[in-house]
Amino acid sequence: MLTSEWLPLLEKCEDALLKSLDLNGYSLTKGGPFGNSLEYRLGAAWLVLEARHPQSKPFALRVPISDIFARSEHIDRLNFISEKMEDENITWFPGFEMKSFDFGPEPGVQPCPVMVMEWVEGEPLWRVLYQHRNNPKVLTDLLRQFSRLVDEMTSAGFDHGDISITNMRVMPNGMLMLLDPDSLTHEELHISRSVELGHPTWNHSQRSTEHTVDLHLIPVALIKCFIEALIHDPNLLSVEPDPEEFFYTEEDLQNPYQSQNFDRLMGAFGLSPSPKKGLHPLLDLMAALDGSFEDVSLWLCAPAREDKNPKVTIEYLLDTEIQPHKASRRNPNIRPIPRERKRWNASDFAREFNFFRKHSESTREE
Amino acid sequence: MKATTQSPALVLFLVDGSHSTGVSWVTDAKQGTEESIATTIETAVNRALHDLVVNVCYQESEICNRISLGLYVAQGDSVSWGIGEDSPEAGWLPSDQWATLAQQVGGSPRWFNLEPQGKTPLLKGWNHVYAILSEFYTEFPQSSAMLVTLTDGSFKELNFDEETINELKELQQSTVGERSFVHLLAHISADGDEPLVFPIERPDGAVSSMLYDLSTTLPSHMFEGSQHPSLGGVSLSPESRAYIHNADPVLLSEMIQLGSRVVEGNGSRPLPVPIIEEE
Repeated sequence: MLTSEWLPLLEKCEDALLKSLDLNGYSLTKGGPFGNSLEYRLGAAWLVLEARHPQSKPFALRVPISDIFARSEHIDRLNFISEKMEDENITWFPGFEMKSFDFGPEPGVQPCPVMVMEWVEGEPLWRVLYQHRNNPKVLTDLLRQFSRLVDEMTSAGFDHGDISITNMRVMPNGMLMLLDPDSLTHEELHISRSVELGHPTWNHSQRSTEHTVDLHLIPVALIKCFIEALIHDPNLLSVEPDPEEFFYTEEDLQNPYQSQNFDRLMGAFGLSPSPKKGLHPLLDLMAALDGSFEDVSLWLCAPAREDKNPKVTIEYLLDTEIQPHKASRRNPNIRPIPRERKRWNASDFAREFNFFRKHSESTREE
Repeated sequence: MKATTQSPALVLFLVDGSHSTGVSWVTDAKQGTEESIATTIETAVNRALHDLVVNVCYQESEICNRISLGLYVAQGDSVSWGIGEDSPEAGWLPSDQWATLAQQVGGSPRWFNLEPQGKTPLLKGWNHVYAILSEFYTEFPQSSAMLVTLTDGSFKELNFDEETINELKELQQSTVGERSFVHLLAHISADGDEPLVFPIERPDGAVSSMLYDLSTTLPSHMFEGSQHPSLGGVSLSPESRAYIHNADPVLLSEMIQLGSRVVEGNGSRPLPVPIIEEE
């Protein structure tokens, strides 16, 4: 169902929907392009509504735009991911819970899955990057946070198939959050096919549904290289970009050596094209894009998962080189905090405190 | 059809506003509801424009200039701009300009009113929109475009001889070239012909074959995410032409609104394969 079909239906069912989701006293935020419908955020797979309460924390209610994301096998997968996130006490991704609601006689909505997710305040990463393109301090912090988020994600056994500039939000406190649970997988969830290919301007052109591992490597390298280049050259974002084609185009990723955008990045770093490995992360990225997806991990590596020496250094966290070590094992350096079931009513303060404590522990020098 | 602010998509409507579109047809047989063809077209075009804003242009509480719009009515002896008072110099308006021209009528935004009168200068209309299309491709060489032609014109009366038909097909081809282009074409005819909806094979008859040739196939992304794509109960295949002849009001309405599905803005990117997972 399209957004334009969902909005009137959601408006009609608002009270019953919120009641069935145990969100008494909540209401859906109004607005929309003409100011006379519900306000919404448009995702690739889900329509996102905001449920607000005068005294309680807000939630995001998500309903599927495409039928494929409403299938029971996919809902099972989302439930697994949700539980795994709770087990691992994930702080870089908003917690969510799958519920359902019968929206009426129309096909596909009886009952229909509804995702209740923690509402992530703040701005999308693409907007923050554009607004702060001349502020290297902010950009450096974002780059460090992004690297850390990816380290945590992979260390907890997760992979994400649609990391992109639109699937990341910067919260008011500056914390970076990843979104889009449909593309989130876990090593214990042995998928035989990916559910989607991710955005074509952030993913390898030859990636297919058969590829189920190393999904984050290309988009992460693309984002890291871009932010670092932006620190050197703010003119890379001289005009306000469309998040759907933020910097790279589909054609850039298909032919990196014929791409003007990759030329601009090389210019920012003072590089010239070279197929030799290890000279610079950008050149490795270009080589990875130019080859087949099967060979991506030869050029780009997931963050190290060392078995020994669990000490984490300040240098590691700063990650200024953007050059992760080649290894495929889990990194014990970044430990999940002891198991404690997250609750829906956990305060933002507790959440931030957990995040802080987690990193305080993992960065302590022996 | 990709639509971004750097490469906005152009959506062009060419609507037949002739006197004959004022005739009524049954829109709901069960309830015995009737309305004019013009009203059906008007409602569906407004709905399609609304859907383009909601589904493609609106993001993070802003209207992004992803869709440029040109809406023209072929009526009487001329081809005129169809929304707002002033015809845009370029021939089209960017999203933030046309989206705000809507008037709220009964809670729904309304851009377009169609008052049937006069004849159908359809050939003049096509020449006009192809000229706009050419200008647009010059300004935005990477952009996509979609033309929606809606007519009930009698091609015999319109004097579409073989030479005219060939010139028209050539004009479209030379304007579009290898660029991304979709032509949705709906023809309601009083000739009593059998309906022809989304044909795969070229039909017989000079008019039908011309309209078949002018129409394009639907973009491939429309077939992603659905194993049995259909519209108004009619199965679609990647070879189906975006052409309907003598469709009923429901299908005509759905075809016009199909325009908002053809453009791929921030839409979903699911795949046409079942999800197979093993835990």
